[in-house]
Amino acid sequence: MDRRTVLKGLAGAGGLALTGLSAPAIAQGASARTLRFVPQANLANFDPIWGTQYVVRNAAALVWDTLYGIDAQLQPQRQMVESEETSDDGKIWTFKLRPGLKFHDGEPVLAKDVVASLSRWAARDPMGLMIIAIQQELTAVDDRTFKWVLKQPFPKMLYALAKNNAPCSFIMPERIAKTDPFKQITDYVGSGPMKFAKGEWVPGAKAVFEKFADYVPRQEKASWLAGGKQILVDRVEWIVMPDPATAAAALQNGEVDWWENPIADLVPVLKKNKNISVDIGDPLGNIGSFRMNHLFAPFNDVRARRAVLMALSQEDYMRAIVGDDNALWKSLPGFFTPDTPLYSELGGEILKGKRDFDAAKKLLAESGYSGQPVTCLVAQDQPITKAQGDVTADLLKRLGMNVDFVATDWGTVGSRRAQKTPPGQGGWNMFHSWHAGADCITPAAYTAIRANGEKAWFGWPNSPNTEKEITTWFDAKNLEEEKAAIGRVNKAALEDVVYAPTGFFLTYTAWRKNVSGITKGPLPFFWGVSKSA
Amino acid sequence: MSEALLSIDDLHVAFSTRRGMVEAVRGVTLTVEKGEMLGLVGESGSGKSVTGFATTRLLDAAGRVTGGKILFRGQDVTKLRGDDLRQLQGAAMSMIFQNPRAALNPIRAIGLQIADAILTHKRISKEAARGEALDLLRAVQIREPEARMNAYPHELSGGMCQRVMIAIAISCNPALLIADEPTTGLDVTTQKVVMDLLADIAAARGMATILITHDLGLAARYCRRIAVMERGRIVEEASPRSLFSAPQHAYTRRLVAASPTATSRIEDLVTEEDRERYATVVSKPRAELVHGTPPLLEVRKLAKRFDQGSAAVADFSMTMAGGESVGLVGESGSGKSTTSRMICRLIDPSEGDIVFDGHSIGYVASRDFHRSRLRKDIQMVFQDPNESLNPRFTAFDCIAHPLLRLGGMRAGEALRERVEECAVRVGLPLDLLPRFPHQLSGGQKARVGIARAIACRPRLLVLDEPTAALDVSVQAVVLQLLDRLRRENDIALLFVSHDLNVVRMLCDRTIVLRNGGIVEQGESRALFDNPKTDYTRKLVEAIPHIETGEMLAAAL
Amino acid sequence: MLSYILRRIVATLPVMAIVALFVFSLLYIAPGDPAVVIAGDQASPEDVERIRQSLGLDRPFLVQFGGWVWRILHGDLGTSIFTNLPVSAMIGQRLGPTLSLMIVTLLLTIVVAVPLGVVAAWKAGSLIDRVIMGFAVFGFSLPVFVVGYILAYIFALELEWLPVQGYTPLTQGFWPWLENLILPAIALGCVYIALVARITRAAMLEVLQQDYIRTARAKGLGQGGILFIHALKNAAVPIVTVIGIGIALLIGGAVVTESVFAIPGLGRLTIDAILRRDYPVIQGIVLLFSFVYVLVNLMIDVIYTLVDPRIRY
Repeated sequence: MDRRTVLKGLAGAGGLALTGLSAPAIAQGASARTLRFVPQANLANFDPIWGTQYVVRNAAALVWDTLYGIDAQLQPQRQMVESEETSDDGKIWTFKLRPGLKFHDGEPVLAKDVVASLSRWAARDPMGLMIIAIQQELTAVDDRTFKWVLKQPFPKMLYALAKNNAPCSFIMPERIAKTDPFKQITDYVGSGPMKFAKGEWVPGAKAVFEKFADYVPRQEKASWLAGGKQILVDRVEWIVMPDPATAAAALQNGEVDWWENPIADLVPVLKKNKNISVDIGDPLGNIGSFRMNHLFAPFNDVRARRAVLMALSQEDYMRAIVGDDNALWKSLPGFFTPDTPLYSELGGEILKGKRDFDAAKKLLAESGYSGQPVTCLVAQDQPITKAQGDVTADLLKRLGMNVDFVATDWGTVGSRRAQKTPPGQGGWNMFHSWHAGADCITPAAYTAIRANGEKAWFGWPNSPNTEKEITTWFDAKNLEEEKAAIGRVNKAALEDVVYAPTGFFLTYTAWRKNVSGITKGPLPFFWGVSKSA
Repeated sequence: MSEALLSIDDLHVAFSTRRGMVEAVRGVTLTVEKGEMLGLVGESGSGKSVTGFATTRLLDAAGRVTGGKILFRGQDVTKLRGDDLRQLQGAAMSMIFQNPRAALNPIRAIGLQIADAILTHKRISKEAARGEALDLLRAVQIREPEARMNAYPHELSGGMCQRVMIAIAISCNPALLIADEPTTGLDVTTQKVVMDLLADIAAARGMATILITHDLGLAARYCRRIAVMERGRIVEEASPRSLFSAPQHAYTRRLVAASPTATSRIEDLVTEEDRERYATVVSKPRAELVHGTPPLLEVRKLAKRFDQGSAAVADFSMTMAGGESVGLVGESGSGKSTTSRMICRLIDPSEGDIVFDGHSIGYVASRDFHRSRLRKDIQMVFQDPNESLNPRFTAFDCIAHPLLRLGGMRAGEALRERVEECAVRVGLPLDLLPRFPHQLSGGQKARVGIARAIACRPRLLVLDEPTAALDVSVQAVVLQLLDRLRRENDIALLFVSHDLNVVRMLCDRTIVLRNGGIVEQGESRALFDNPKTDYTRKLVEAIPHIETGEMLAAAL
Repeated sequence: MLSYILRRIVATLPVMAIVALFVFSLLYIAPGDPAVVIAGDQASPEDVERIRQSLGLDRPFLVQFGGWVWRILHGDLGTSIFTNLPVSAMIGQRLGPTLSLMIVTLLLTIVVAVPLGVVAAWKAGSLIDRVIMGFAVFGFSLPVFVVGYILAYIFALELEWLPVQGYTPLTQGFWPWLENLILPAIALGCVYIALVARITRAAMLEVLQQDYIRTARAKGLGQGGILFIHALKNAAVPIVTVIGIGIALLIGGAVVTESVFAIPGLGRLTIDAILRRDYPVIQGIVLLFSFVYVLVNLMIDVIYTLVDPRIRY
């Protein structure tokens, strides 16, 4: 008996019994001023520069504000900044902070704090590193003004400061921001709309945020990370629930108000409950990844990689991940997030239409594959990688490959995939992962699309064409140029098979109907969310 | 005739077992008068204990009275329920058991255990019950009764435990006491003291007693009337005198014959009609000992100290010639078992040496001795055949095992022949060889134990109370077997026993041990007829004799 | 007795040292790397390496082990790689819930399992006995999470008697504390109750066949007195032993139970720490658990002497 079967069985039973039954939850002891939220993962550390897991970024967005924020149209908007100026040659950026900004300890936010925060961030962020590479100086001009002087123009400056991809350029007090970017901070005094209650933090179980009374929201309407971040509750409690069935029950019972990522198996039960709303949480979704090692046979040969693309059925992968709900997935003949401005399907024919095993086998034979073992690293503790791994084992066997299936945990995959040794000596041939759609809108935060050989992400793809077009995108001056560049990136990356996308999938979020103001976005936004008794 | 205290009328008791209902008692009729002591004698399985348990309503869940009546003061005990039953049990009727240490709760102070019985039947305070318990301890002649109140059974000797049991049994002044083998397992001297005490108390309180025992001699000494049971029936009921002088039933005759007396010889232990079978064997002459031949076994100044410091055995020396039989007697704690185990090389002596056939073996560590080539020359037969046979080994495996380990034999035809030969020699039917121990009777198991011991053709056999757990008739056969083996195969026997009658018959010489030292030794008959020390005399006198040889002769 | 206890406690030190070395070595050779987890999925190998260096994970085994032992000898269990909090503080946060769960489960087990076992032995072979033992087999074979889901579904979702999940410290009141522990304790206790009931039955059956039980019956004692005064205490040694061994079982079961009922206890901390390769936390917990286990064994030995006067140290 496995846990998922039990879950499904109970979900079925629950569905029958719960329709029209569950009594309206009487307001529990905790008042309507406390919002209880079940996050996607455990908040194990709280340094959003040092650690880049999404959950840390999501919590940090409550506690620290940013200079700019990306809005629902994916455009950077001013946040802590009142105004900015660019020199005519595009090399000098001068920023002015809004007046009256305060840290949680009551100290004003000064330009020197910003300079320290940006320096620490830039050392850890891919775009930040690009800026540092061309930086002349970053200095505070006066208490509210600071200046970034570059050797070359950097058109994506505001996007870099606004982006929601981890790490975000959160503004911390100078004394905290002076911490080595590779060491963890221990002081969580923030600049954002909520304070972190360090004393109530039980890593792995609970994190509490309290409204910061002296926060000065912008006047504009809130939109994602931009606009007026109005906090309408006194406390936000994050309650970690390792077991999805428990989270579902707690939500039905009114013991929690909002569950960030209900698993697909339990959504039918939640939908039947008249006190609960269920909707797509993050419209940017996720992209599944079949990552191959370009250094060793068989996937060092592009024909073997393309053979996989030819035979791979995204529908199989997506159904394994999300189940029968067709609203939750799309096929993705490319690498970039669907329904975003730069989305392209150029070169995507190989992923479309009927899967051609005969041609794939022929191509594989041409690549010289002759039955050597193919080491697949599959993390069993992550439902998404486990589901993909099962499909892959079947796929590779049908292609006539000798599959060496290594069932392990995510932590082991994490370290083993960094091995550049041959598969027989601790190395590997493929593993599965997935990328947040929010990171795959442009190449800026999209590490997995990079194909600069040894320096690239695990698998170390080397595709000069892809890299060339990514550079073109960075230098693009308008949307048309960007679109053209991304189309060519997509085509080149598919031709050389930087990695194999297994499809695009969405997840739900669920909340009780007495909670209002929840918006769709790449992370849960707590501003504007209120709760009635 | 006044109405009897207890009258059992055509009692039937059956047990449900895996093989269906088995009748253990089939129509027992019996009466006990007030204040009388009745002996109920029979061998194991005769139904004597079951009759006792049925009377006190202590049968196992599997046992059921299937017919007849048990009238106690006119009331049918078999029909009592609930409170009526509890007023009977422990109050009007009580029982003491074989193996008193096991019959006491090991983790409850004895004072409390006596008080439990009192409080069950009397509405008095705990302090008062404690006071009565103390009086009872005095009544059963326990020394330092105040201190003993808080003692636990394991801190008391077997005899003391039986006194405590008697104290519990008499705590509510019952009209009837059923004593089921009350002295079996106790030393002879203790046996006598306990039985004397029981008889005195019964007489003083006017308490009727049923003495259930396998020991005809014991019953004869204390009872004026004896009922003999065989296979669930009473076959004969008479006074001891007439029972011994003129046993009517064939079974009684066999039983009387098999009970060793002060003068009986091994040949005497079977009735005339059974004797023919053994005659040829027994008549074979014994090999004469030649003077000047070196002794088979020489033990020099052997001593054993356990961790506590006091010596269990000290300064023990002896010699044995080949084919000789020597008895080692003494009360429990006298060191006789420890000595025999040292000689067998199962435990290491602290001091002294053991020389076997000219080889010093006292210094070979006991855990290494199994590799010695002398291992097969010294074999042991243990006390309880039930406990000393591996329940997962068939009789064949048991006998074959030493041949494989010590005799260097391999599984095969030769082994099978050798095992069968051993079985024949001990009189074990060959068709029993594939059976497991639980499928064999006590006597058959004893034979397997002996066959195992002689399989490697040892020259010295050490026997530790080999017949203590056996019925007298089985004991008789085993003793004859041992004697025959000694004569036929010239095996020396070192016989450890507390049963002096048996030692006298079987052993040429006897060594008396007390507190780990030799008190007296000499030729058996002379030693018993004319003991030189008080200790030996006490041992001899304590044996319940069936008096007079002429009675026995008449019986035959 | 006291000197015995002291000697036993001192004797645990080498055991703990071996456990420490074993755990440390095992983690050292086990695959996985906390730096990778910290850096996130998108991080570059260079960043991972920098983090490894800053955590000191690149140092040789003996240096790392020596440093760890040195700190432990100074009473410092180290600092979590992830939370940057002292391991002792993290364990402290989690100890209350786990301890509460264990104690409630233990009490529940004893209160339920022992009488069940006694009754089953008393009525051996009867319908009651078969029903009780049937439940025991059932309880033994159901996974904790299944029992947990079913209980939560019935008592929390349908009947709304008890909360689905969570933990309230005892300082906030007895009932709020207990309310959150009832379902988890039943779920966790199921296997344990089954085990203890079976052992109690077996031990009682053996004791009930002893001669002294017959003596007690011969005295005219009532059934209750025989079962609980004379028999149960004599059967106590194996029962106490199994209850003690069962604490190890409980620690294992607590991991699942705490997940199912979202109790912020040590079990979940253990799993989280293992999946993230948070070495100092894993080491601290294993040391704690082995110490608890040694302590429980010592307590069992002490209880033996209270139960059975024949046992002396």
